Amino acid sequence: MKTSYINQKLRQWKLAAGFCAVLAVGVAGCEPKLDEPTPSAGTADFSKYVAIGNSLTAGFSDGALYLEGQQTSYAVLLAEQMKLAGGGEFTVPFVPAGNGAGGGGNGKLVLGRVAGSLVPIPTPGDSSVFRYIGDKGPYNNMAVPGAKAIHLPVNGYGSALGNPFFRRFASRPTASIIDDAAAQKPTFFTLWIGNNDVLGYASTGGANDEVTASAIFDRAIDASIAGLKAGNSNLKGAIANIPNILKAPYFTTIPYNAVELNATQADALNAGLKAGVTASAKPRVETAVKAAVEVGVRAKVTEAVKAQVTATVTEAVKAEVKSRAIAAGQSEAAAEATADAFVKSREGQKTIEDEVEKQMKSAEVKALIDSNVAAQMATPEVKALVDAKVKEELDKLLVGLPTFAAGKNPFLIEDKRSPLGFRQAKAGELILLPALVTIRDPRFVPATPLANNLVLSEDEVALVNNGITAYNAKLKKTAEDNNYAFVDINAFLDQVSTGFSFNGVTYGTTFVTGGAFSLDGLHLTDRGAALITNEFVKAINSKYKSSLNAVDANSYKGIKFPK
Amino acid sequence: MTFSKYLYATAITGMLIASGAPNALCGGYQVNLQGQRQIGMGNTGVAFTNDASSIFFNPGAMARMPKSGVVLGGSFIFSKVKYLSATTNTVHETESPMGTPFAVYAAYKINDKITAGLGVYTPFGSSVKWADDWEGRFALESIKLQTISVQPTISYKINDMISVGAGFTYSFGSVSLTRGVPLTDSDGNPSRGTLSGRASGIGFNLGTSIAVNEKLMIGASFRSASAMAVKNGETSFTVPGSAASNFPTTNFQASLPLPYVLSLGASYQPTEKLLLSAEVNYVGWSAYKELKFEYDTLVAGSNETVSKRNYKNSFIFKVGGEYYITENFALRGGVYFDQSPVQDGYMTAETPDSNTLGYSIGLGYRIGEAVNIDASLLFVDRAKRENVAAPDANTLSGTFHAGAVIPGISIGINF
Repeated sequence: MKTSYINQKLRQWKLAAGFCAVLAVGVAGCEPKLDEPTPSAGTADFSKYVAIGNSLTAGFSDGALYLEGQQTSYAVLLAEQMKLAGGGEFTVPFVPAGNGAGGGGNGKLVLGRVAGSLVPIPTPGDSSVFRYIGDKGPYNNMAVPGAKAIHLPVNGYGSALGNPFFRRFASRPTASIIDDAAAQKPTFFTLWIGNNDVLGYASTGGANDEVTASAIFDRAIDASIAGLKAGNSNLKGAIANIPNILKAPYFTTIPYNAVELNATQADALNAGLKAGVTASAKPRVETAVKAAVEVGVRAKVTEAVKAQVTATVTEAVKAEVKSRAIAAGQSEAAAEATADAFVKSREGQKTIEDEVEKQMKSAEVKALIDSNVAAQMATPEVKALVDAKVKEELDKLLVGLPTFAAGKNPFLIEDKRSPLGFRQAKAGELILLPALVTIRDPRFVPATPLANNLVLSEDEVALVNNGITAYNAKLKKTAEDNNYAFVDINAFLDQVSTGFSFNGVTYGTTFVTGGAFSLDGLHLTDRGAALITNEFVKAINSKYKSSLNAVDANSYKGIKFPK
Repeated sequence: MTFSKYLYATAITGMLIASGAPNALCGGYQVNLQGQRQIGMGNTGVAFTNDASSIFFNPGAMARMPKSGVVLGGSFIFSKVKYLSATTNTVHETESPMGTPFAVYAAYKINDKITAGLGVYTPFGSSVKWADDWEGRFALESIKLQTISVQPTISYKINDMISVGAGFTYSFGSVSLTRGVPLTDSDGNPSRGTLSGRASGIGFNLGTSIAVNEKLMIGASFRSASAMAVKNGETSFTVPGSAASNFPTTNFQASLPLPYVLSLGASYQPTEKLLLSAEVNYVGWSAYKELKFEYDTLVAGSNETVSKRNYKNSFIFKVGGEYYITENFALRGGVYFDQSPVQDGYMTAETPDSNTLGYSIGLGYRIGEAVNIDASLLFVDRAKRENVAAPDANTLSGTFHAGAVIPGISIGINF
């Protein structure tokens, strides 16, 4: 009885123990397990990474070089990932905290409300940005805002005549960017250069600067790579090509045909444009027509006056010769014959011509001609002729006048080659971001042409595109020839321009809301810099069999919206 | 006595907390925790069930109940999802809220042929909460999907061999989804949006049970699809003031399909003490094409957000057994394989689904003729699965691994 009870208890305990064992194994087995891999450098050596580039590499953003932008440049983000795979310190020539400095003495742009809409507003610039800190260098981030490829190997680029953004941290005034980079004996470099070789031209609608010739570009790249290799013959690195800058919001925000009108507005604009062009062209046309008519009138009057003067002078010469001959004892008839003969002689003709010329130049005769011309011009016949010609010319001009219609209309843009001095923009021509200020001004009348420096015309677009294509061919070849990683930023921006999805966030190139581009429409937000970092990581990992981590782009800031 | 009081209290608490089931249970957002005896046997149930839980498992079997009865049960889901980012190689994990799906059934034997019953249970649900600064927060911060089905059912025993049954299902519930909005204000504060609303849908549940002989039974059931329609759900956004007009508080419409489930199974009872059971489910997940929210006014410049899901139909294979070691005390065990309906590229942080193995054990205890107490313990082991985000899925690339431990208990009373 008792034994069976004990056995029964024992069996229950065994069961319970078994149950618990199963439970323990099950609980442990059902705990998800995922391990974070350790980043490695592969065949690369990240111990001394130096970044070479322009504003994009420096962390220039929102129209200025300022501290937060520098702290999240793709070069800094990349260096942070390299640090987990044997990378060393990455020093940056930081500017003082604050608004930083960009173009035109301004600091960074901030998004603000103006008359109910959100617009980028410049802050006051900080001149202490340009205080010299080159004595505290060298710096791993050697990127210089504004630098073109052709500037990289130029000695003296850090001088007073060079670039103030390099001057502030160059080792000495005569240094070149490549000198100062190579002197650090980098084990790894990144090079992203060439944007500014087209940008200065493109961003001013072709009105300023020029597109670097590809042969000069090529030589600068060769010289730069040779200079870097002189610092370390076993150098490894990554070269990025340049994006199609014309896909940045700076160039795409305003469509060429963003003038939206209803029928009434279109009619009013057409009438206004016609009246305006007529009013502004009429005096010019009238003056030109009158001048042309007067030339004819004057010629005729002058001819008539000259005939009159010639007759008078001939008479006078003849009388003079005759009276001298009579005084010399010739008979009346003989003297008459002598005088006739003289007048007909070469000498006589010359004397007459000289006198006529002299008289024609006299103030009296000139005044006579002028008064005759004036009198002729005042006749109803000539006046009618002038009016008819003026009308004809004006009509010719107005035939080429653009007309507005209900719906979307192209902007009018300046064009010196057009007889009107302006024309309609064509599809494919780009209205630049600074035109927003003009267009958003309530006083803006679409009949007023946009200035040349706000528009990139068809042929200017082609020039920029050709430049980019040529530079990118060289950059790719340079990466291949030297066995460096090649980062295809051009292809990446193409993806972004059609929508690039990252962890549930879609990035695009829409101004302000696209996420990747900062308020200047050309440079990156922190998130944009992080996306670029990831492109570098991908290319470097693939070339050097390294396993750098990419970064969580969404965790960086985009554009800050007012509360 | 105190023990059963505790059980009642637990079951009722479960009902009150209702049914957010952390995702980690079954294919998609299906929750298969409707009977403790069945869970203990690898979640089989279409062929052998003969208590009030037939209302869910096979309405056709209800008429075979020897007596009227009531079953009250609930489960406690402890789950976790881990995610290894393909981008940053960082591991994130869910904050693992405990889920408490429940099932309550009552069946009344009107006469020897006809039994009528009512079931209230949670067929679908999902509750996932990630840290609000995790890498996928713009795809999902948290989701809570709750569904309760009420199913009046009638069952008819045609003869000793065949019985049939049918139930009408009214399902209601709520959905709430929170995502980050990729905007920061001038102080760097993040933004987020929540979509929440109530949903309802109707369907039916049919079944038949066939006793081939004393030992072998066959069962089949079909739970229909139903569309849980969210009417006039509400958006709520926390965004910078200057962007608020782009993120208005507005209504949205959405529809979440609940798939049909076709079940076919057999059970075999070689001796009084031993019962073996096997079952196949075919789940019509292909109804879940996309997760679409249509807004009454534009949100972020768009009148809808669409995330493709592109589920495909899937199978679940289950086997289980039960053995009475004493007259009143049964041990159970089972295993099932649940094929993921989610295609490559479409794994999401809300349902990071993969092929799943479930292992279960269970205990049953009879107190006299009137009372059954059943307990189960289910281990859910999802396969580690790598996702390369499809462009239209609005999701994350990386590796997901999920698992869950689910204890549950029920009490059945026959009268």
